[in-house]
Amino acid sequence: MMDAVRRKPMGAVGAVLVCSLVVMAIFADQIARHNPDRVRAVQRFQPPGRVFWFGTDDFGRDVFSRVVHGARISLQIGIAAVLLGTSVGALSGLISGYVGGRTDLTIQRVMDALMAFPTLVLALAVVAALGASLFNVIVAVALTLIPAANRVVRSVALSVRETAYVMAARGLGGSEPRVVFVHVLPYCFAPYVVIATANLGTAILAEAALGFLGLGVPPPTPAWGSMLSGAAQGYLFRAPWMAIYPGVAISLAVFGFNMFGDALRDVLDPKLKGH
Amino acid sequence: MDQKRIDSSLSRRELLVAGVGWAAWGATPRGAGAADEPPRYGGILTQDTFADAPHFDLHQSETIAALLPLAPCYNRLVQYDPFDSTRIVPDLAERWEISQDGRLYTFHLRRGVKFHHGKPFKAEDVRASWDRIIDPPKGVFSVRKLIFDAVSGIETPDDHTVRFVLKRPMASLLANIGQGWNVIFPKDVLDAKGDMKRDVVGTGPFKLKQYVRGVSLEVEKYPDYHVKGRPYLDGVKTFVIPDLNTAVNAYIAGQLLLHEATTESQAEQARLRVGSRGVIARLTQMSALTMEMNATRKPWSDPRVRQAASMAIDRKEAVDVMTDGAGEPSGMMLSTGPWALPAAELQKLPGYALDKAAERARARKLLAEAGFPNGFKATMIVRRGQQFESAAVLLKDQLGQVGIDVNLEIHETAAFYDKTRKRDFELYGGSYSTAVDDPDAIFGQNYLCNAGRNYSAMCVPEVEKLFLEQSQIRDPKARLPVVHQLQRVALQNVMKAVLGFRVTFYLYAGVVRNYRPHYSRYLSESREQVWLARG
Amino acid sequence: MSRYLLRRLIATVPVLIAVSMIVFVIMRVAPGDVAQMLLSGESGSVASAQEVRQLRQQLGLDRPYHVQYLTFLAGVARLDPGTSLWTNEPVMVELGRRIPVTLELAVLAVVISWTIALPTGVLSAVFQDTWIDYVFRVFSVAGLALPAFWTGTLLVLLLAQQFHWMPPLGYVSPTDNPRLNLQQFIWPALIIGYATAAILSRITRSSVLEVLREDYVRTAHAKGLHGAMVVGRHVLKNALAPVLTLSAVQMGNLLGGAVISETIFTLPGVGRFLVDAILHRDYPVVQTIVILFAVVVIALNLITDLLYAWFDPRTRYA
Repeated sequence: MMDAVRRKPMGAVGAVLVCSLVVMAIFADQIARHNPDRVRAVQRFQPPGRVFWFGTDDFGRDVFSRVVHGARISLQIGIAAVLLGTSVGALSGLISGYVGGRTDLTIQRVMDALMAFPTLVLALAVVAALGASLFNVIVAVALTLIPAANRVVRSVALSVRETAYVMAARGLGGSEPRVVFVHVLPYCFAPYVVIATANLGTAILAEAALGFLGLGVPPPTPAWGSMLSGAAQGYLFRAPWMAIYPGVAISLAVFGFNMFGDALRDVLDPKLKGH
Repeated sequence: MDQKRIDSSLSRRELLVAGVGWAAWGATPRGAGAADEPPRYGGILTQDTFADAPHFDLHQSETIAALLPLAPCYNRLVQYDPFDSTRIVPDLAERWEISQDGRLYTFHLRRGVKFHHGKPFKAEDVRASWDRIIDPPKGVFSVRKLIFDAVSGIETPDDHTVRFVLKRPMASLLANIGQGWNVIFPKDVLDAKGDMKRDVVGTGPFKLKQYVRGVSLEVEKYPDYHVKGRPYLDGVKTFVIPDLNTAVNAYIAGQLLLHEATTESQAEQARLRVGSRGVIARLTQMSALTMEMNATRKPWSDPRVRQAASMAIDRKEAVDVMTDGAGEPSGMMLSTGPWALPAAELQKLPGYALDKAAERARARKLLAEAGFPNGFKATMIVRRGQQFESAAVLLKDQLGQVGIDVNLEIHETAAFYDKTRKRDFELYGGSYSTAVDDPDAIFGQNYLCNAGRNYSAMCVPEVEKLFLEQSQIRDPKARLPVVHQLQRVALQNVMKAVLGFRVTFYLYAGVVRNYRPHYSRYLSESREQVWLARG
Repeated sequence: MSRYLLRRLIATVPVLIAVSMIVFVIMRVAPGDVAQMLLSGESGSVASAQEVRQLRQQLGLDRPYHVQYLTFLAGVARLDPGTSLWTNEPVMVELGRRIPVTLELAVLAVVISWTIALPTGVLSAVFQDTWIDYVFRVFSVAGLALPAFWTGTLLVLLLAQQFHWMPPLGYVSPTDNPRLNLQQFIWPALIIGYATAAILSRITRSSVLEVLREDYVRTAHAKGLHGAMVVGRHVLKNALAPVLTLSAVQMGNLLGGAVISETIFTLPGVGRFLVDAILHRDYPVVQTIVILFAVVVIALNLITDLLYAWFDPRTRYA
């Protein structure tokens, strides 16, 4: 354990950040000191202090409690979007790479089309069309994650398909789905985990960007992105803490996921193993 | 002018009073500041809007993004006194007469007025412009047509006289003609082009110099302007700045001399950074915070439920949050204007009680009677935008306290309009703005059965009756009690839950003189009288 | 080579059609339309349903969807995608004004991102797991972790509040006044460039790490070549391929990033135009810009593949 920390100090920092995020999300109700949605007009714009650690916002709500509960929302969006996006991407990549031929061609053209959209533009258009809600934000973010996962898993599947090992399995009369799931899938697992971890950060950032453009999770849900855009921008001068703390939370979370993801890749990527 | 310089030794409240008593500014057009100093010619006034105008045709426009940059290029028949928005003063009509029965208005036009393209201004231009406002030809969309429903036709007995013929007396005809939108276009351009979407040709103090889409619109002094010695400025440049913080920062950096209708927080920041080099005016705006309850949907068709919802709303808290503790709960008419229902009267109406806890207890009882002893769930649609969302968060919290569990649905503007137009909603948290603080305009647009913004779909016969009655009383003193009664009836029926009026801040550099903001930005934005002191 | 190119070019046609269909469908699913938007505003009056219907008809929005789609597609093929429903000006004219702005922003940002990413990435790899590596990695990941709109807003705030200075308002073209132009563009370019550099630096690092382990590099070392020379001559050239690929993908995303920085820094570019068009439901504009973005992304990918082949002969025209 200590050895791992010594060899991958950045990864360790990332792991600590990710763990605290998860703890915050799970025990939000215990950690938060106040009800995050409770409006108290008389306590508006309290600067950070002993009662309100991170101050209060334009409705007199406790910013600390909202940041803590925001961890839950951010993680929820991140995990759901990544699971949805990378799973669809990975599955289609697996099929694409393993089956090949016409199927591969069709799937790849669709991926090309999705990739041809700049990330934010696709998410923006989807939220505009479906309306802003927690679920639609997840779908929009997930969509942007599909092509990358597809490409990575496809290339792994392609290379695995040609290995003597899989050919042998096929030669022995293994059914196609069985070969895919038992022999090819495990090889795709490592790159999948690496991509998924790194994408968690991306997903959290995407939610923030949508929030800035006014297409994020609707209030009063304490989503970090919506917290630091919207009202916080309007009160940037008067109550900078309203925007600073959720901003710091986003940065730390993204930072943590990236560092953790890097370390994970170093460990899981067979090519780099043993160095 | 009673411009209040910002001085750090005074408290903020004292400094920001400039706009509270707009009526108190009185009728003297030019105040002390201006008398000491002779107006100075030259300079360019820089200001901003949040968006680009889709086109230049003000009769077909509804956004300040079009009016603000273009207003300097035009005149109206009559205008609001740039220093006193309670007064209607001549513009292109130098004087007018109203017939005894109040159904014929005769305007005598100024002579020697020339359009920017050289053609002399005549009665036919007024007629061409007003015909398309009142009865637009195919392809022209006059968005304020309904306000002038009482006007049956326009006549031009000679080149310098115009008559408005009315179906019934309309006490606030002049007040509505004076709205900033109702500018006079040249007949020949209208005939040739069909609209003014691409052209800017008026009689105003400034003419178009340069327009860079998405960037700025610049107008320059019109040397042949018909008012001698005006305008003082060489030009006005309006920048398009979509981001609020960027705009305030541009003001702080001195790149904007004028930044209108901003928030308290931004004003505070400008005060800290600009100090005595700037002026801050605080104004209650003609923009009411409201909640609509769709009466075609259950359970909102039940008056008890509507009343309970209105009683759940703590207007004092709402107004405190939205206007930073400075506004007052209000009825339909501008709280600082002459038609407002006095506070003592308001407190007798459902939802305005001072003892909120007791009123909420009554609200819960009403809900129980209506069959919801444990409350119920409802959905509120909200237009995307910080001010709308903030109001909605507050309403959700307050309705929750009597057991109405509200789910907020945020829609961007296009989708929001779609939902409201189709009445596809239960609750709608938002606001409505009207150009003028006039009962005809406010009730005609928001409360009558066929009013365009009667989203609640409430139709109260007594409101219709009182509306017609007050509209025809030309003596303001006699009209006032009827207008009060009209508000009382509308509030008792909870046609909409009205919370109060928005407060905004106007920032301008100390060198900007003869400028005065009003309760509405659609009244007086021509900048004809504005001048810049040596900075 | 030319056959390969031709094949690739033909392959883009179905992709572009797919893109145009996706955006067409998304925009029609979105509730509300431009007619309602044109007739409404913040000041209170509201157009009647009949007026909205009439304007829709005038704008051709009442035509069947397939007619609208095919008309648009035919227009795009002729390089004339029609007129903006919002401003009634030809889309190409509107775009012509805005493309240079976004292009300049993108080029500046890419230059900045390479300037940051290459040295930090290479040094990180060469000094792997030392404090140099950690510092550069933290620096680059921070760029990724700080939302661009956040740093942008803070930067504008800092400039205005502390220095009473703002990039000059309006837009000055680089040919008119390069100095003023640079004052307007350098800040958003720095912010996008830094954010972009984060990923680029990471890829440079891992790519260089990988090459460093290759046999020929070890051989070069064994031959006694100096470390810096090895890196300069062998490693960098081979490590560049993935960096280039990623850079091209990022150029595409940069267009997305422009949406935000153009808003904060009030630059009249394509990104802001697109957001406005989406909000106004200005269909032809949204469709054209998305297709334009797609063409740019595809072209960048093609160029990268060609460069890739040039750098690494093994993959030539595969």
